[in-house]
Amino acid sequence: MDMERLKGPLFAAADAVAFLLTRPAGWAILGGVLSLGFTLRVASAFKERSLACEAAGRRLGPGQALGLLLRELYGSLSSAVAVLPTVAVVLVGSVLLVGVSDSVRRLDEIAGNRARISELSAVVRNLERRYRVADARILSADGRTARLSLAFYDSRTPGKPVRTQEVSIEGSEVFVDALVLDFAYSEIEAGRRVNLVLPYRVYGDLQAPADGQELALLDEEGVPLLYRRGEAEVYGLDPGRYDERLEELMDLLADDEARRKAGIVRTVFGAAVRRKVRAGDSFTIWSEQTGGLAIKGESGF
Amino acid sequence: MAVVLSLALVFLGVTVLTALQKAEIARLEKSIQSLKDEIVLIRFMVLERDKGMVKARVRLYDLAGAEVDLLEMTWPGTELSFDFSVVPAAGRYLAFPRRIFTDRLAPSSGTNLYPRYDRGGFPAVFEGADFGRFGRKRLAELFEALKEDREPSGSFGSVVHDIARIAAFEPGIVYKVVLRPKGGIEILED
Repeated sequence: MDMERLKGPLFAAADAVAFLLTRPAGWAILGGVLSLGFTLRVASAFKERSLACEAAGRRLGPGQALGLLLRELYGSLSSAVAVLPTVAVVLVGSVLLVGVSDSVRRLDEIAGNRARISELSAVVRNLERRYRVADARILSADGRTARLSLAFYDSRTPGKPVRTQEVSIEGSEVFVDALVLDFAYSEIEAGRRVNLVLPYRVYGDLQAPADGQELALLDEEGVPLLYRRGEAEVYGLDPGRYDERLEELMDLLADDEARRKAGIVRTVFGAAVRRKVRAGDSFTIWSEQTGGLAIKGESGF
Repeated sequence: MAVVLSLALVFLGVTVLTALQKAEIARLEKSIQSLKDEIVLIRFMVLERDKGMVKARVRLYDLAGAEVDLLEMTWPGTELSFDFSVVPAAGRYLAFPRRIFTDRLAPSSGTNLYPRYDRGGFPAVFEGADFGRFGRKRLAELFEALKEDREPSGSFGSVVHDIARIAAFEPGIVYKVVLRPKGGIEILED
């Protein structure tokens, strides 16, 4: 039996019963129906008695009318007492009907809540997610200069770096600089987008960023190598479509107005993480899906 | 009677279950909201870019949103960078504005912001919230460590800036630098 088809009539009947038994308006309607029934019964009795009196050439007197009214009242009460067990059964049935209906509704609500919890949990997971951007390993540092090895990661293949590069900086602090494109929270929450982080230069605290070392991470079309992938899909697209989508994103980066119109990008800015360098040290740079970059251990804090 | 009792038990069970589910939904919604929380650290406006110099007005705020300091300066360069020291504490992150530099100015030569909100050793950008006496003492110690260039455990530096070719700060527009609950820092148009 299709339960869904039964729900409509079941809920309607239960709502009607609940309304009649629990609301003043319902009581008024029930009272009205009973009063109407009693009035019709009395009227019918009066009519019959009047006809009988008329046939006998008499008029129905007030005393007779009162007696008739009392008799009908007594008769109605007697009938009511006689059907009390039936009324009780109907009442119990009504309560059961309302109970079953409410339980079915609650079960529906439970299913809806379960779906909502699952959806919200996914949103929390998507917001709490972070992606490894790069691992930095300090090869040498003497306080004035430092040499580092950087391993860059693609968010789709976090297990192994897609490229490594050695860089030198001047100073005792390293700045790994990136272009950050943070998508609207609605996109992140739904898991449709991953904030893009495109590392593009490294510098030290003793050198101006413009004098830092550029990271060769763009191809001849200006598309970041990290995101130029052939075989799989980042956004549920085939490889060809993915490349188109990627170029579209790069166009968005280049065109502020288009970015605003697209409405999917929360903000685009440059972000660097900074760390003091000591030979042998290593650290990992993460892209937080709530926004921005951070340096954290594997498990965070 | 048994049917009515069974029905009552089922009804009670589903009522309790829905109440628990509603509490879980409320908790998740609160988590989502708190993950999207932002603390405004700085608001700034580029006033002018001319002849390789950038002039900007920068306001520092405390946790209650009250202005702590106003700074109007000109720096050589075109891209403005705001450097923060981010320190993990009690599952959240504290951001101490450290300095301002540009693409043509080395960080070590940038404008040091620590003295601008140092109020007798306490970092005034953390006023406006109840840290308690111990918390304030700990904040002052952290601030002292940062001023002495000592890195508290787990801390890191976070710099946000514009990129002239792609996303330059437009003169006359107010931007805000915000701290996210997971320690990330973003620049948003205000």
